[in-house]
Amino acid sequence: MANLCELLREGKTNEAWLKYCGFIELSLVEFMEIQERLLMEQLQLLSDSHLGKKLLRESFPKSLEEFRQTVPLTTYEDYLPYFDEKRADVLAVQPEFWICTSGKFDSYDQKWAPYPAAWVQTQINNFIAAIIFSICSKKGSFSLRENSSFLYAMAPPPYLTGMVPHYLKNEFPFAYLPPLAEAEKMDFDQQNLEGFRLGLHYGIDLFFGISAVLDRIGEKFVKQGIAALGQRGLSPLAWLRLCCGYLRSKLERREFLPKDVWNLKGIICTGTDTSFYKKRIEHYWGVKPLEIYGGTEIGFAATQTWDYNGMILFPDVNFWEFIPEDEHFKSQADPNYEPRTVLFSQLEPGKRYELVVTNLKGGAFVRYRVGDMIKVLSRTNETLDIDLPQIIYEDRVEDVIDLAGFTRITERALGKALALSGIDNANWLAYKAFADNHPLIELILEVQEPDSTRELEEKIHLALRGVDSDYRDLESMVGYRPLRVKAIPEGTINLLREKLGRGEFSWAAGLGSRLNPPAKIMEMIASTVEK
Amino acid sequence: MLMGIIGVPFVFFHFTQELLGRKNYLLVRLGYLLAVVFAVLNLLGLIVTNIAFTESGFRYTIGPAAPLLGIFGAGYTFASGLLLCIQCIKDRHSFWSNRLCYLSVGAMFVVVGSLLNFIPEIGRYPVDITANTINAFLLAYAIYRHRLLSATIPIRKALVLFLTFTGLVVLFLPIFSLLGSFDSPFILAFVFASLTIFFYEQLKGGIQTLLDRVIFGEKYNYRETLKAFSKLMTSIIDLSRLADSTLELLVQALHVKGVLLFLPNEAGDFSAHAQKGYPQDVLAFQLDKQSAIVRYLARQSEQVLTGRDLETKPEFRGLWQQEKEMLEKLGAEVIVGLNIQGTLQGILFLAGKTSNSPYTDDDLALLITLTNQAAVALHNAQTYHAVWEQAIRDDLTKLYNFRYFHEYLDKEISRCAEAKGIFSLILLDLDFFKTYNDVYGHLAGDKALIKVAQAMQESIRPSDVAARYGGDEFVVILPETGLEQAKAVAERIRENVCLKFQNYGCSLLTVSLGVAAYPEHGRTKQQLLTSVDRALYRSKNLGRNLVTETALEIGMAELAAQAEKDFLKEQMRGMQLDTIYTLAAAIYARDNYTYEHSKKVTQYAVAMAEELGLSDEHKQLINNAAMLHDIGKIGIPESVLNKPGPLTSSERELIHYHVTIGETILNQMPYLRSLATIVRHHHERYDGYGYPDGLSKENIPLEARILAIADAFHAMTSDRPYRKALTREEAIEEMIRYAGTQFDPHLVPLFVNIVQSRPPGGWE
Repeated sequence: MANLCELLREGKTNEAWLKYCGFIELSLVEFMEIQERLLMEQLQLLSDSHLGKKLLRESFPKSLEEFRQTVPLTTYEDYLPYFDEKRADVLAVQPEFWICTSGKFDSYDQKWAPYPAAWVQTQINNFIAAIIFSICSKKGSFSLRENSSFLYAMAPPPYLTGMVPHYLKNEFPFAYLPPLAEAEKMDFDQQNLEGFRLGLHYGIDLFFGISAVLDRIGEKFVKQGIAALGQRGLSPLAWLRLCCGYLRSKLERREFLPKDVWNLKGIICTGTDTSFYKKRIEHYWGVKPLEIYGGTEIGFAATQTWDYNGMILFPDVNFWEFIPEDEHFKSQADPNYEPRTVLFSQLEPGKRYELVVTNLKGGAFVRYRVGDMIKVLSRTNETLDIDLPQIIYEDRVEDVIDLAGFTRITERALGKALALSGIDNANWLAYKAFADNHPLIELILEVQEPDSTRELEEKIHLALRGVDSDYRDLESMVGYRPLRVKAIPEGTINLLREKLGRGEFSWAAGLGSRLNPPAKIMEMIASTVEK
Repeated sequence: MLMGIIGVPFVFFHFTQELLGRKNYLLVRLGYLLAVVFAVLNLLGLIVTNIAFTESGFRYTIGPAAPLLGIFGAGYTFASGLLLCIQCIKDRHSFWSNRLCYLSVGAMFVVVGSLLNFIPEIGRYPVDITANTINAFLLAYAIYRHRLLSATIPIRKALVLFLTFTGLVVLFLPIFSLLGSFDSPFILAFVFASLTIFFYEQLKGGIQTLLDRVIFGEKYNYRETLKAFSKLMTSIIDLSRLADSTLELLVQALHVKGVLLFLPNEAGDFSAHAQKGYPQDVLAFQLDKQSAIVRYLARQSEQVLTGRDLETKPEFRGLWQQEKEMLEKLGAEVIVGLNIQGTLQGILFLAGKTSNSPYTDDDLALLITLTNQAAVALHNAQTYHAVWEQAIRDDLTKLYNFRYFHEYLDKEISRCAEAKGIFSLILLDLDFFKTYNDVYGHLAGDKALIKVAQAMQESIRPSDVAARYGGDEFVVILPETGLEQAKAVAERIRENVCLKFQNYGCSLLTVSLGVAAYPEHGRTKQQLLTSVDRALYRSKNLGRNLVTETALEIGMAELAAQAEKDFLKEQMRGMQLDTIYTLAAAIYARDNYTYEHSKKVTQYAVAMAEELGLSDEHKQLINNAAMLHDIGKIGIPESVLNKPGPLTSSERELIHYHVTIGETILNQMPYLRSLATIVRHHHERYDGYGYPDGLSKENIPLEARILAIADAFHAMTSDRPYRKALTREEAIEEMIRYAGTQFDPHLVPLFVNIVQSRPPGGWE
């Protein structure tokens, strides 16, 4: 089977495009045919495994309808007893490796997911599709040089992003900045800085990382110039690149920007807030970032295309189901309620859905509630002539506040930080807000004395740093305090609950999470805070 | 010469554009226009004037428009070179750089050679011709080496013309030497023209045929084979023969390592039907009708898929891993769909060529031509095959029919008579099938016949012939099989049927089989059929669900006596079973719940009987009693039986009465009296507070105590109009709670063990 490198060497750019990016040319019917066909394969594989039998409740469905009717939705707790011990013997297909991500606060430290070989190859092919989309300007038109410099600023193995470069080399040779073996020994901050420093010498063709980091480095570069990266040990070629860039900025009579120094061809970003940073990254780096969406349990799930708007789900990595928002709320109110799902072909523009996946090609998760909300932008992309629904990743579901894809703050973590700050009994709510061009936690806290807000904010912030290490890293990485406390008079929240009326939302009945309350509540709180 | 200088630059530019796939023809058209203009200017003496051959060589002077021609020529050649260089730089891959460097170098020669013409001192020598010749060689080499264009056709044409004219010259030389005395060129020209007209076509035709053999080689042979195949196809109607011929032809014509043909089966999937060049086990491969390959070939107008298509086309992202493994094992480089009137009739998988060279466009075109013809022939053969199959198969069971069986039997007897061979016959008849039909209905009866046919097919070899002899009788011919082996096969069929109709320990339907062998039991068809029929009769008489050979070794009188005895006993048992089924059907007709309840209670009760190690006869007694334990409910009004709310005391009394009614019904039939007592007492309680007689402990018959437990457990775990079902665990708790009061405390743990050892659906 020819890989990307061989196809490009043979001058078969069109075939390379078709192989990796051709899925965007599928019709919705063809997309669903692929989904259903691979689901049937997956069910056959699952029926021979211990875990599969357990998840399928011994029902072994023969059709898509039967599958959705008989197999219940699952959460990570269904897999925990096996995956905590990395039990490969219960799986349908032996994994090539196990991937991990951070766990649930106070429940389990890490979440593990097995990656079988066929699934890994699909992930790699889909990641290459994202690379191609990030460097192309129109359908089928791209060029990729062997040994292109790739600043790969993501977490090392056993995180998903860390495994990718090791398998990507079977498809195409990239020169990683810094080289993988060195990068994996460095801490995250050091890895980024070293990557950009090496990029001064070798140039940077591609970047893959977190959008907040790219924005932060751009901002630092503008403020501090080359001092942001450290001037020591720069090669003559690096100085030449800097001088040329500086001259260019002066000729164009504007500030000295990273794009004057590094001529990036493509930027691929993850993180919930990529759309928020999009314009700023383009300003600093001269290229729009291409957002991809994925996760440990779902792999690389979706990518933007060369219009950098909606994302398209890959047809062959997971079987996609979606819980409509109203059903999602019902299941939040009643944990025993089994919400109804819709299929990819039934998505409606403008609506929000909770994502449910069944891994294909021997993966382990079955009708798994990922905990992510997506929104459907449109049924098709008429500008690019794509006949598939365009989605955006909205956020995590109610019980988590995701900051820049860097950390996920749970209700329990926030509650613990409040307790550590000496606030045991106060009523509170929290949601994600944006201020000073950054995402942050907005904590609405009932207090007796509004004057002490600043002091409380400081205390809670310090406590959160202790409770959540990612929160602490975020502060040091992006250089701002991702917490803002707003005080409201005692009793306000209960008053709001009563105003809202029971029955409409679980939240009104006091059952909903304290995090990310419904939009209606947030509007009411905003007006209360103003008053 | 000058036309060469005018023509070469823009023709070369045109060639470059075509090669790089550029669509801008404006410059090309302009080039043609300017060429005409320069030709006219030259005729007017504005480009080259005063050409003369002197002793010192070729001399000419150039006119005022010559620099314009220089700019024109240099411009077009430079543009060609630039396009080639840009392409080389843009795609820094060996694919283009190797191919285009020859052309770029050639372009440089043309530019330099042409420009040198404008210096008359150098132009007097044929430098431009030399440069163009070098360019032509480089171009030809690039075309040949890297297959830039398909050069076969022009080469063939050029060779045909060249050899024809050479031939004519060789032919005419002696004639001309003879005619040398004629000084008149007119006569010479006339003779030459006449001879050319006469010989040209014949000579050209002969040379062309010869060259086709040399240049097209295999394809020429292929075309000849194709012609022969076309003739052959119209005469073959046997599907297997046709498939083999087609594959053989493909292997020979294209020198393919292997070919595999898939044809649709009854389920609509595609099964491997014939192969050439592969190991035999590839015939086990199947392609699901939902497979991406099948869908694509069925849907698309294109009928050829290459291995690269499967790798790159997004439609094939849905390929299963096992399909990919199959493709890998087959080494499939080309897949061809055989479409007739928009329906996919077959799929051909072709491995690589023996030369390991890739399939060319010509190969694929020839392949399509061949498969189009083959598709029609295969379709006809399939249709014939389907009609033929229909004519010899039984509609319901899909086994062979009575007519085919007789034809085959005749052939087999002839074959064995000639070759002194052997074969055996098995005749099979379903036991109590009429009763089964009466109880479960004819639809269920038909399904049962299909299941029996399946059981037979699963128990015999592919070379054996199984047929439906008529009604519920089946027959099997076992070629090259002796009596003992045939008995073993018959036994396997009997066991398989039992398993298929297994319903918790008992088989709802059984078969009796008779076996006869050629030549021991007969040498004619009539003798054999009589023998095997007699053997079947014996199986029936000996108690059914048996395999027996024809009774040669037992005395007929003994057999008759034994048979009569057995017959009476069996008649009795048959009547008993008939009655039970009839009563069960009556319950079913009245109340489906009670019928289903009775079936479940039977399963539970028989399971307990087995666990207690009771005899087969005892188990049968419990089985029958359980099936009929609620027969008395026939006499209870439906309004009371299915009342959603609580019962009044008089209604409860009425319900209690069903055990007495049941006993009365069963007592009416002498062969069911043994069940009456069990049915009467199945609602007694262990502590003596039950009904109708208030018996306690071991005074209650064991069978009734077993029924009480089974009855209560199923009632608790079923939804009723007046309450929801308990879960299995809740019901078990209840059973344990009432052990010693309502239920026999010794039997309850045994029952709980049985229930817990089975999964919830394990009773089905």
